[in-house]
Amino acid sequence: MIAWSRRRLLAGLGSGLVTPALPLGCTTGRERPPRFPTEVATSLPPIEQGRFDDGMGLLLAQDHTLPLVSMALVLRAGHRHDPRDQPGVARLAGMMLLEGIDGGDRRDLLDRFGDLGTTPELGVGPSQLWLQCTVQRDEAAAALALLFRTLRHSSWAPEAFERVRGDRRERLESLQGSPDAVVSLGLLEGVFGATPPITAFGEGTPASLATLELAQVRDRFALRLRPDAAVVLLTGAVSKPEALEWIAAARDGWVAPSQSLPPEPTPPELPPDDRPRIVLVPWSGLEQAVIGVGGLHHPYGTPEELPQAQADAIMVGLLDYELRTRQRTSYGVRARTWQTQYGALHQLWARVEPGDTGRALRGVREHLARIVTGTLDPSIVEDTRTQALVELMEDAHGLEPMLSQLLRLVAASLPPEALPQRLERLQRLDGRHIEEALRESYQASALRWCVVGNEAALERAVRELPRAGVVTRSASALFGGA
Amino acid sequence: MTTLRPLCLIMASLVVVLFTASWARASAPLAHERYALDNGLDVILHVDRRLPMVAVDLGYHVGWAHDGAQPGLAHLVEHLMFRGTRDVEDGDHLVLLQRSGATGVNARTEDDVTRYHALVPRDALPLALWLESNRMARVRLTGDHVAQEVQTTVDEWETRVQSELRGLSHESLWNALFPAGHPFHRASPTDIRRLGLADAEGFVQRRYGPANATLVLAGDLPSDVRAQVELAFGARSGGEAPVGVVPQRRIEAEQRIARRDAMSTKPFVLIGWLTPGLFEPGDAEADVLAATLDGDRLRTLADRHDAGAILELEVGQVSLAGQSVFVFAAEGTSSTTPLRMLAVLDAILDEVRAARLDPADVVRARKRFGTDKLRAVQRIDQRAALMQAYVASGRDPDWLEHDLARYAAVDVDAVAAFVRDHLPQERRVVVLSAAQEPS
Repeated sequence: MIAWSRRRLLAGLGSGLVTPALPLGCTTGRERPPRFPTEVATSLPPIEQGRFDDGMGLLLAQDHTLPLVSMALVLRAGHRHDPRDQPGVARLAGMMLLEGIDGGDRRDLLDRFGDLGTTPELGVGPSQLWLQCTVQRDEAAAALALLFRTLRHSSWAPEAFERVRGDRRERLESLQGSPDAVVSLGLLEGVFGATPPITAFGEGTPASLATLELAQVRDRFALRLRPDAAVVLLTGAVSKPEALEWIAAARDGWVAPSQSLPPEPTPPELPPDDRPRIVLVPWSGLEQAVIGVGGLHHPYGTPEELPQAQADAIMVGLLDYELRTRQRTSYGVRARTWQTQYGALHQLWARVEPGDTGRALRGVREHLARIVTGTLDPSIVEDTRTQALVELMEDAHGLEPMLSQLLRLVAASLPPEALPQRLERLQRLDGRHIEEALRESYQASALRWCVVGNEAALERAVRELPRAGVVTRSASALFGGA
Repeated sequence: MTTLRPLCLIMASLVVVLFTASWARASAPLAHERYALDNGLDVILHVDRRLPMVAVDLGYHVGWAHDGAQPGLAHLVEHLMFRGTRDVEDGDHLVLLQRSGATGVNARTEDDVTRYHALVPRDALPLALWLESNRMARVRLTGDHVAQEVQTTVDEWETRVQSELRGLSHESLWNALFPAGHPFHRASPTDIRRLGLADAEGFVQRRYGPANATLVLAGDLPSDVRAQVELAFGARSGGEAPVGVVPQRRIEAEQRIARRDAMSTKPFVLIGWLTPGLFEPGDAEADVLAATLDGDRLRTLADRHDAGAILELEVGQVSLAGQSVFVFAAEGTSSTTPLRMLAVLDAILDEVRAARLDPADVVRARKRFGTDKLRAVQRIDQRAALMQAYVASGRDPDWLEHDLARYAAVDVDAVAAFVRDHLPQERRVVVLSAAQEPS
């Protein structure tokens, strides 16, 4: 299978940088492609919004093509609400929700969902945690009620807490065997100065996981366990009156307390620009080094984010094209190993032979500089925008993808109109803003680097990269270990 | 290409079970028209107007199981089909579709079918059809392109096998289950590097024609869609189905493979058995067993036998035409060893063989399958892919009702019988992967 991801689909755009106009290739052959309207028809399913008197929210997207309902119960209690000295509280609390309710254990709870033909899933993000599932319509009211009970009536069993905590520690240890994960953490430290970087994902550190107590986790969670911090998301074969009826029954007497919701924590300021520019992670015995480059990504829904997302798409396309052609032979970078990750960070990474680390870094830096200082073919910008329009529609196609879109809106505290507005903004987006975003995001001063590799790889990296702002970190330190 | 990936991925693709009153409704998502062009092209049309787009899915009835003495050839040709035609420059297939707003432009080589698919804006359907038709008949193969794509497919092998934490363990299991000469044996980099231009030309000449293809169009179809299909494909000809493969093999004695994962901090155990092929008797029982033994239940069972030995445990059936693979995959905690983990897995299997599974759990698993089956046809591209899968197995595109019905007789005794008949200790391959040496 060719690994053409959505972003990699743009790979062919790279030819636009090399030659001013993309050759259509079909003008000189004996067969010619048909003409068709170039304007893409757009549509998004409507989203209905509701709010109960006590502040509990509802977002609903109806889709009656299948007898299915997807649902999520969101609580504004994410890892940014963790105490600064106790990272990992929200994640542990979320995991405890699935460890049993009403004094029962995890197996009992999963069986109750199983009786409804579904399995609950948990998500924990910076601003919220949520429980979600998809069920056949006949079971939807019961499933929603069970989600509410799961959120409100966790058993909080001590033995379950010990097991969950032990699993998290094992997981963190297991992740340390992944060079890709390590390079991401190195970049996080460079971009945010996060210390240790693993906490930026809402994970605990070995120290916090060892010392957190069940009561601390439970009490912290209880502060935000209230209807005015909750939002219900529904997609699929459900009408609004049904949704309201199901929620009213599922709440089962849950009322908001008289005191107001605790204020949202102030987002931490980015530390002064003395963060490391280059993080080196020694890893003896690693057969392939990993090099990563990244920078700050604007949050979803902010004015700067949309052009930056287009800029990222263009950059990935151009890089992939370069990797498929010149860099494979001249820089030693293995093609098609670049990835991007959205959220707080945009990043790219690639695996290289240790002996090729220096020239790979040089080649990539020069290539990035050429893109940033060069002139983009307008067709690249236009094509990227067309792709983004279609992707936005596609992301809302189907019950579960639509539920993900609703979760994204709630996480960013955006109203449902934000989705069609995003479509409109994309249609109007000026190509100059995309180019500006490209230059801003990928200029040398905005980028941080991380190299994970053996002694030979790091030696070559040091020779190639600027001397200022270089730090060396062990993999375990990035995970918050000693 | 179907691969033996970490089981979390396998689980996502498992066939699911249902026998509830919603059968008739479940069938509606795949309502379709089917007809054939004079040249033999099999055409399936499915209308869904939720999105102003169309899923275009062209399947050639040839896959990696037909490679025979040229392992890797079907996959290599899949790559080459993106490298230009006599009318479209190298790379422009993607560029043209991308400019039209198409997404998901990709191809997939499976055991018995190679599918080219894209999700295109409805107004760009004529372009997508023209591009598929054009490369069906007029692909331009060159020695340079073959050399480049050989390297790319080798890169993919390295990414999938060498760079994945458990990739070499999975590859070891697969090739022990299907040794050299078996149609399911995986092409190695050495095999791939042996392939040349003449191999690719011969393959395309024989297999890539309308008489060996099925075109599925799903979505916001225009009223003249039949005319569009005729215009694009009507003048093409050729396409010969490969000789069917008979992939039956039987393992006569347990085989153990001991290895060490250089990058892993945890031990890992894989157990694989050869099981009945896709849609054959036993296939549904395997699926139900896998769904009943979800990761959480397995973990509970494992803890009962040896608390703290197993960190994560997954089980799944990789269903293929003619012969499938059933796999147990377990990651251990730092303090355990592969052999200790194997003892736990054997204890769990003994329980299942003795029919000690709770019948209620089997019922829950079937009900979850019912939900999951509908979840798997939420989108038009998913519907197109499922219809292709049914057609590839020689069934009706809307075989969903039958697909679900074959699970109706699966109960706890049937599952236990499956384990006794198909998962015996003496007819399996075990891969015992130790963690890296402590530094």
